[in-house]
Amino acid sequence: MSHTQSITRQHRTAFLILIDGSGSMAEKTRYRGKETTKAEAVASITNDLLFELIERARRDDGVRDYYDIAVWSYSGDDEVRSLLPDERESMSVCELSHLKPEIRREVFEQHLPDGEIALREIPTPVWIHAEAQGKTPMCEALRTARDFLRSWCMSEAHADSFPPVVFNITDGEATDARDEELEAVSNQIKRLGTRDGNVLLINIHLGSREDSERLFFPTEDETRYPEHYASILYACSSTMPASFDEAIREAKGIGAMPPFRGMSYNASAAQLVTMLNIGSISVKRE
Amino acid sequence: MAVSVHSFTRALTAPDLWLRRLHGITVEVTDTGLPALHRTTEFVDAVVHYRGERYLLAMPLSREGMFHAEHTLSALDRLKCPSLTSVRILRGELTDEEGNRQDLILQPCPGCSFEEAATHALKAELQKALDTLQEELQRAGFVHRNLKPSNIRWDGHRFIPIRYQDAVIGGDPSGDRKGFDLLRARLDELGGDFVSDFDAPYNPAPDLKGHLWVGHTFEGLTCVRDKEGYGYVDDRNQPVIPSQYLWADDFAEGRAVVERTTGMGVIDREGRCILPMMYDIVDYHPEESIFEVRRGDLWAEFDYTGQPLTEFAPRGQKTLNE
Repeated sequence: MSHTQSITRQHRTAFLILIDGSGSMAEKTRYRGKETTKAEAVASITNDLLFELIERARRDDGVRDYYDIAVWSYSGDDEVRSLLPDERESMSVCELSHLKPEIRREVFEQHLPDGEIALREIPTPVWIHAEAQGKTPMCEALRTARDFLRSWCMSEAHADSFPPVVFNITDGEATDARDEELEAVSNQIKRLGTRDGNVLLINIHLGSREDSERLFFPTEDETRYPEHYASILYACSSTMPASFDEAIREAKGIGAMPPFRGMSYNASAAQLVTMLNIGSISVKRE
Repeated sequence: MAVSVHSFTRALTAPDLWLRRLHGITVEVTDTGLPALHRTTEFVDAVVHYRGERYLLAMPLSREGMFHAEHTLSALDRLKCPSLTSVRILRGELTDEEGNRQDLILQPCPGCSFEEAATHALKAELQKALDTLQEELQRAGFVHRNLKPSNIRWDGHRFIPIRYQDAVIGGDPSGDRKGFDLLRARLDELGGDFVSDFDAPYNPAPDLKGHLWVGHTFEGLTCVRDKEGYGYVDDRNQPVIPSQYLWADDFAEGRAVVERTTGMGVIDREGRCILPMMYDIVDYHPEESIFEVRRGDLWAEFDYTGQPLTEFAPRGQKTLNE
């Protein structure tokens, strides 16, 4: 079975987070029960994910060097740039954990059973800030990701590693390619891999609808929600390997039948990482 | 569905929103204001303060981690080893913002750290305490499997291991030998025989036989779980309040919050009903002698004797009783 290698310091993996920073991300959406911009929602999703990845690599002796992390934004006119300090292409999770993120007092809204809304200010680490400007060069971002991942996978040090995981967080409106081109470059990414399996490309689709519908790891018949870009993002997403079927079925409900696609609609990336058990079962005792 | 570390962190910071019973905890934080988290392979935990005591509140990162812990903690109740603390699994304690529920594990975290112990006791005394602990664990057939300075506490008289999630009962009795060697070596490194006054009397779970689970003793009453449910016994293991509840908290200032299928309520030391078991939530604030209760959509406050202090109203809109 593929995708079974434990993530250790000897068998490191990589997480590449692609963020749509285009002008359309200034649109309003509902996230965590409150109205915000898509850009703010994406920044929250990304910061939560970075927190989750760091904490899942933490042990008694500090954060262990289990993976590389890259965070790239695509926006403007074919602009793909790293959001890490000094625009570094990637960092190890150890390096990232040593950065001192800004601690923002984020206001959380919680609807109580009595109908009241409780507000709480909670300290939240912020590595990434919201952006919304220009076009959506998603295809160029995927091409850049493909090149980075090809190089990462070709390294002998990574030959037996759990393959890299790409999270592409977007509202789905690529402006630099036709659907076929987007699918073609996605397929090139999905064909890359290590001896443990192929790269996983997971698309996190942020909707603009008012409702709070959430969907994760859908089967084919679950992607018929009325968003124009759902079907192309579905086609671009990896089929989840069988080694994750049990965990996904447990999360979705026992009636869910594989194959599942690496895609979500309005679900947080941290939740997806939790479902995949990154950093616990997939990390052996060392 | 599993809950993320991020959601656990938020719940620790705003427990009244995301925890079911432990509304009154305060978590120890780092200089950033974020909870100070501790990780093992399959768990994340934090030190919390609850009614004047220190506890570890732990969340499993996987279903398998919780399954293993359940086996261990269930067997732990039968060991009656005075150096092991009681541990309680709180079912469905955490609800994340998507409505997923998660079991948590609550364990006392008494005394001071291993490093601090070296400043409070003579080295020979500490070495002897380690010997005693090793003998006790071997006799009980308890193998911790992760003994190290951060997983052991000193109460002024004995060492008390914490974090039992990786432990096995009935394993190779020499399984902790390396861990004890490490602790002894660390004691040697710490050196110095400077001794200051320190006493953090630890109240070990009493050796009470015949129960599925035994808690610690508070105000002379020990919460136990039998097949009929939770109840309370005295120091001679005589039932004081028969086991009957779905869940029961420890006594504080003569009152304990308990739960039946009909809801949560409050009893006194004789088991008399102070607040009927009909509420969705009961928050007890012993320092103020006040109970905050929720029924349906509305909240009200009751005094120590169960007399209403406010009318039922949406939270934050207190209407004082005449």
